[in-house]
Amino acid sequence: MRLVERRIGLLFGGFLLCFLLIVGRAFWLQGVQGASLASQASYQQTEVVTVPGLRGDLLDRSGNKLAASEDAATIFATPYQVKNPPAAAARLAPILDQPKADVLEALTAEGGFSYLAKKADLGTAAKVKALDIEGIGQLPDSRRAYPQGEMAGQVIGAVGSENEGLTGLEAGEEDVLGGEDGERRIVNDALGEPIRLETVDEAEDGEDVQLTLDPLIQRETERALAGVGEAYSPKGATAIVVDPRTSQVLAMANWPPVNPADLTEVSNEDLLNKATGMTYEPGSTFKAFTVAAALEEKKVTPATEFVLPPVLQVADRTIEDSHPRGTETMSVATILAHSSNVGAATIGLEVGAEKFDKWIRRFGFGRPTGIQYPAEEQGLLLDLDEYSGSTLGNEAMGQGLSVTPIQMVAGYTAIANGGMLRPPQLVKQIGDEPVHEPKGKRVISPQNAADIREMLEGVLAPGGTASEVSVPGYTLAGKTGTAEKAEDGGYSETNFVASFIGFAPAANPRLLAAVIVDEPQGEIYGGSVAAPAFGQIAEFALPYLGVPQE
Amino acid sequence: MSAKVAKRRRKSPKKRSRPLPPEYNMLLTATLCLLALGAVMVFSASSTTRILQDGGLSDSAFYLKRTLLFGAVGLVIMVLASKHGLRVVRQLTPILLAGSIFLLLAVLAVGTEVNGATRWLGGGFLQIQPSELAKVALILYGADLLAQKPKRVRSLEGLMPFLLVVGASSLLIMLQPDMGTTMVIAFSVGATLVAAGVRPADLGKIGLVIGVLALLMAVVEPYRMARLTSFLNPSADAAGAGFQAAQAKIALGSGGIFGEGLGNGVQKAFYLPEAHTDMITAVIGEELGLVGIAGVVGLFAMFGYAGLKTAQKAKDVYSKLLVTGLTSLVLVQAIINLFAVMGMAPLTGVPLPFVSYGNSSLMASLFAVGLILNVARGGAAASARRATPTGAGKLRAIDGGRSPARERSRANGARKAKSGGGGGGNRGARRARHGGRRRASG
Repeated sequence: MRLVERRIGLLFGGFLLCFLLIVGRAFWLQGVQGASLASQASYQQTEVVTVPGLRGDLLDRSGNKLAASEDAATIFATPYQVKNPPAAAARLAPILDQPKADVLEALTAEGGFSYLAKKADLGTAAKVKALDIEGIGQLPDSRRAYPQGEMAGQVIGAVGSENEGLTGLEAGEEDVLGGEDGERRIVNDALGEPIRLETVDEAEDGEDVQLTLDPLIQRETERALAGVGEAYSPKGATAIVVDPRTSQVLAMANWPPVNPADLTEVSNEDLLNKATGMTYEPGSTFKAFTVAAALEEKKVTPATEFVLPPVLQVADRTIEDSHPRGTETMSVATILAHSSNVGAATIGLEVGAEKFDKWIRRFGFGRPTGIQYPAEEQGLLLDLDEYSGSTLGNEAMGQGLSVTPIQMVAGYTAIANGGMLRPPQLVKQIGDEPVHEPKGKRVISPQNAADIREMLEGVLAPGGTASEVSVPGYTLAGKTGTAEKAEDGGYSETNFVASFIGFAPAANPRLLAAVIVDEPQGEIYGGSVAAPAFGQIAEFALPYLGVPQE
Repeated sequence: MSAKVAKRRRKSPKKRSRPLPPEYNMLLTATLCLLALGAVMVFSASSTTRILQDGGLSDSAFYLKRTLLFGAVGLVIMVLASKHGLRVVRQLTPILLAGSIFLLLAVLAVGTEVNGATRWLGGGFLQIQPSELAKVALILYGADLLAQKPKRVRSLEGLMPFLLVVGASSLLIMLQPDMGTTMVIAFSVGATLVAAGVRPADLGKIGLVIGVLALLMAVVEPYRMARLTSFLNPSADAAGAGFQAAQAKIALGSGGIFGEGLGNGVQKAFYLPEAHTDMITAVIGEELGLVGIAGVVGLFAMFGYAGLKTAQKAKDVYSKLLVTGLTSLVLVQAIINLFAVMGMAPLTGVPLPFVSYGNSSLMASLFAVGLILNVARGGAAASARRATPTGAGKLRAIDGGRSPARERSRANGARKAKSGGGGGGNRGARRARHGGRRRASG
C-alpha cells in the first residue's frame, strides 16, 4: 500500500513537471515570442487597403458638372488561382472590351497579382463579378468623368492614374479638389474572404470648385472657334469671353478641342490652354494701348492729326502699312480704325520710350495677370536699356514684344470698364466659400477710356478693318490684329497670328471677347479670320445676357 | 460551521456524518470549470466557421447546443457514477471490456470514415467513438486484475495477460487509425503500472517495446513520418505537414499575455483546422492569452492533484489503481493535446478533455470523473453497504475497502514478506491500533 501511495506521489510529480513545462512553453510562445508571432498573424490575416478620398467636382457657373468623380472598380487577377485561364479569358475579354490575348496574358502572368482593368466603370465591374471566376478580384476605386465631353477641355485639364491633377485647373486646384485617401484594414479568413473591416484612417473627400464659365456662352464660343478651325485650318486658336464689369471669365476655349477623358493621342501643344499659356506678338490689337499712353500723356487727342508718309524709317527698320497708300493725313481715330502702322509708330515715338514702357507695364504686360490658373505665362517686354533704335516704333504697333491672350483681355477690359485693371476671375467659388472679386487698379481715366472705346467703334464701321462684322441692334467696338510671327531672328512672310478683341455695347460694354488664331491658312487678316468669330459670339451672348438693344 | 455540522449529525445520525473531503470539491470544481470553458470556447471556435461556410444560413450554435446536450447527459452519468458507480463497475468490467473490443472490431467493419480515419459507429445523434469506451474499460480491467492478484505486478509474466489485452485493443485502435488515443491508452496504462508497483526494470522494458512499436508505426505510415519530421524541423514545411503546428503557434503567439478577447480570434477562421476539437487550446491561447492557457493548465493540475490525492487516500488497492488510472487518462490526454498544440510533441489529434467538442470523449471523461468522485466519498458508500450486515456504522473508517478480508490478508502477506521491518508492516500495525481505538470508542 505504501509503495502504491509513493508511486502515486511520483506520478503526480511527473504530471506536475509536464504542466510546468507547458506553462513555461506558453510563456515562451505568448510572452517572449508573442510580438513576432502576432506580426506573422497579421501578415497572413490582414491586408491594408487604400480607400480613395473622392475628388471634388469642377462646376460651371450654373452648377453643371464639368469634371466629376464617380465610383469605379479596379479589376485584378491572382493568376495562380485561375483554374482555366483560356476559358476565363474568353469570358472576360468581351466584357472588358480587350483582346482575348491581352486578358490571357494578365491571367497567366508571373507572380501573385496582375491588373485586368484599372478604373473600370461599375457596370463592367458588376458583369465581371457575376461571372464568379475564381482568382478574379476587385478593388474599389474612383475615376474622373467629364459629363460635358470636350467642353473647356484644356481649361479643366487632365488627371493622372492616381486621380492627381496633371494640367489645367485639375492641377491648379489640386489642394482643394484632391481628397485625402483613407486606409482600411481587412481581416481575412484562411480562404481569403473578409471577416472584419477596420477603418484605420477615414478618407476625406475633396471640395468642389465652381468656375465663372457660362455653359451656353462657352458652347457658342467653342462653336465659333470650330468654325474658324474648319475654315482656316490654323495651328491653333483660342477665345476668351469676359464680363468687363466684373472681369469674370464667361468662356475660355481652345481649338482644336480635347476630351480630358481620352488624352492618349493628344499632343502637349493641343492640351495647352492657349488663353493663358500661349505667348505671341499681338500686332495691331496692341495699338489701343499706344493710343491710351499718348492720351494719358496728353500728347494727342482723338482728333489730333498726323501727316503720314507711305514709309517710315525708324533706325534700321522700315515701317509701312499693310495696304500700300500715298502720303495721307490721319486723325488718331483713323489710325486705329485703319490700323495704320506708320501712324501707330509715329504716336509711339511721340510718347517716348520711357513713358511708353511705363504705360504698357501699367496695363499689366510683362507679368502674369493673376488669374487663378496654373502656369500662366507672362510674355516678354524688353527692358528700357535693351531698346534698340527701332524698338519703340516696333512696340507701338505691337511687334517686338510678346503677350498672352489673357493679358490682352485684361488690358482691353480696363478700357471697356472705364480704366480699372483687374485680374480676370475664373474661379467663382471653392467649396462653400465664394471667391472675392479681385480688387482693381486704375490705369487710365474714365474719359480717356471712353475716348478709346469710341475710336474703336470705327474699326467695325465702314472703312474699318473689321467693317463686315456687325450684330443688329448693338454697337460693336474692337481692334483687329494681324501679326507677323517672329522666326529665326526676323519676321515670317507666311505665318501670322490673326486676332480680334472687341466689346459691346461700345458705350457701356457688357461683353468683351478676344479671338486669337495662330497661323491661319488661306486668310491672314484678323478682320476676316478672327472678327467674324467675335461677331458670332456677341450675336449669341448679348441677347442671352439680357443686354438691351440700343 | 462545525456547530451546524454537529447539529445535522445529531439530527440525522443515519445520514452521511462526515463532510465531503476537499478533494471531492476540487475535482468537481475543476471539472465544472473546464466544462463551462469548453462550452464557451466550442461556441467561439465553431460559430465562426459555421457562419462563414454557409453564409449564415446554418445554425451558428449547432456545436454549442450539442455540447450542452451531451454535457448534461454526461453530468447525469457522472452523478450516477459518483453515487453507485464503484458498486457495479467492478462486476461489469468483463462485460465492458468485451463490449468495447467488440465495438472496436465493429468500427473496423462498418464504421463511418471521416478524413481517412474510421473511428465512429452509427450516425447523427447516436454516433459513438468506441475507443473512448475502450480507454475506460482497459483501466477498469487493469485495476481489477492488478488488485486481485498483487503478485502479478512483480514480474513481466504476471503482467502479460493485461499487457496482451491492452496491446490487442491498441492494435485495433491503430488500425482505425488513431495514434492519439493509442498513446493516451499507453501512457495511462503505464501510469497505472507505475502506481501498481511494477519494478522500474520491467517498466523500462515495456516502455522500450512501446517506443520501438511507435517508431515503427511512424515509419510505416508516410503521413506520420511527415508529422514527425515537421515536428523536428517545423519551418521546413510550414505550408504542408507543418501547417497545423505553425498555425497553432501563430494563434498562441498573437494572443499574447491577455489574449485578443473572447470571440475575437481570427485563426479559427479556417487557419486552424479542427479549431473546435483538437485545436481548441490554440483558440483559447489566441482569445484568452497566456492567462487563459495558465488557467486551463491550473485546472488540470488541480484535477490531477485532487484525483491522485483521492487515490492515495483510497482505502483499498483496487480503488487506488482505478482512480490513478482514470485520473491519468484525463491528465495524459490533456498533456498530449497541450504538448502537440504548443509544438512540444508531434501532432496526433487528441481532444482536450472536457473542453474540446466530442460527445463520446466528453461522456467517457465524465463517467471517469464520476467513478473518481465515488472513491473520494467512497468510504461512505462502502460503509453504507456494510453497515447493514454488521450494524457497525463507525467501522467504515477502518474497513473502507470492498473486500476487507483480502486487504487484511495482503497486508499480512506483505508484513510476512518484509519480515516485520517494512513500511507495510508498520502501516498494518498502525491500522490495527487505529482500528482498535475506534472499536474501543464504539
